[in-house]
Amino acid sequence: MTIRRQYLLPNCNLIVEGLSSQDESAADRPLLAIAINVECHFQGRQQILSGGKAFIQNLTAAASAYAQEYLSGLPRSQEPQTEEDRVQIQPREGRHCLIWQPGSKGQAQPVEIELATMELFDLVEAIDQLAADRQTLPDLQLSLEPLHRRHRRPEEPLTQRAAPLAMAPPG
Amino acid sequence: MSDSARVMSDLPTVEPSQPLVFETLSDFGFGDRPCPSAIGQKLDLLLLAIEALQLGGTEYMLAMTQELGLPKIIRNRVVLWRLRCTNPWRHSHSRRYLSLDEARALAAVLTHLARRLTALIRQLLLSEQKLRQKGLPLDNHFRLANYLDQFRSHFRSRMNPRRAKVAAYLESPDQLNQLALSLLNQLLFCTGTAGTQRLWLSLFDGEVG
Repeated sequence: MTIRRQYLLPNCNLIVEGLSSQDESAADRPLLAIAINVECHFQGRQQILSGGKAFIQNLTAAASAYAQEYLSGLPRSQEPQTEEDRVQIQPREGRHCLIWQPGSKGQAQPVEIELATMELFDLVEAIDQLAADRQTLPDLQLSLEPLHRRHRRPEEPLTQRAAPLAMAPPG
Repeated sequence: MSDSARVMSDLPTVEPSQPLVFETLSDFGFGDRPCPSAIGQKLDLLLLAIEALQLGGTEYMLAMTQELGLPKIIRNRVVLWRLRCTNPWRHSHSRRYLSLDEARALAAVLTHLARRLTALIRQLLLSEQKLRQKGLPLDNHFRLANYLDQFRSHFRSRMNPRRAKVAAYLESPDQLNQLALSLLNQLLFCTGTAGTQRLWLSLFDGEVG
């Protein structure tokens, strides 16, 4: 059975379509165990990001790590990702540049979307809601550990140490 | 009294060994060691931002400690004040460090209060974004200007100008506004489904190992 689940925020809509395992299909809210297609829409933008299991895994890892980087002000090296549907997020002039490489590298031009902080937060929140939903993709894990003290920067003003990305004019 | 009520009242009260809200907040190997001072500083500044958003912030913080089952850790206003004075920038810096449970309690209180203020935080950040796009000064928006005024006023009255970094902020209202906005952006991330866990993890970035 095909199931469709939606995580809707003011600026971001994450839609997961997938299959339930047969024995779960009769339940009130069956388990969506296997992702077939995932779409990520941002309000007011035509570009839709989409893919399968690799896409949602990479999007989750990139958005989650970047959110932590934003909160602590310490850059994180992004987790190694599968070759397919790579996703990266980088700070760019007070905004947040999401770069998605559809398919395998070289198959298509990478897609870049510049996000304001509120859009970034809504993406992270949609992903956190998905991760908290035990009936949808239970294998999707958010595993983050704090950075080692060797990553700490020398003393500097808190506005720089705490949230460098928030300092430039936001979009 | 009905039979069922009598049975209920005869049951011994079993309190959980730790507040439920702590369950997802790891100790990251710190064990019984105190938290680094940067954690007390960051928590106090985020609480200062909440006070600037909401008149009577301390009362709301104390009420939230009750709601979250934390009164053993934050018993009253004086204890709350002492915990916040672990911020080394404070006039009345206590020269002590937060225990892990004290830090957990402050993080839980602030993220749950931030969640209640979600609409206001989003409104202020959206207004800031629009004003900047139009090249207009931030005090064109009454509610945003009020937040920045309140934050600057709280910061001035509570932080120690003999600390070099505090003095630098006090000399520059623009820098202080930037600090207030940076904290407001961070509060936005505290409002989410995993806001408490995300804040908690971020506090330990660069502090473990």
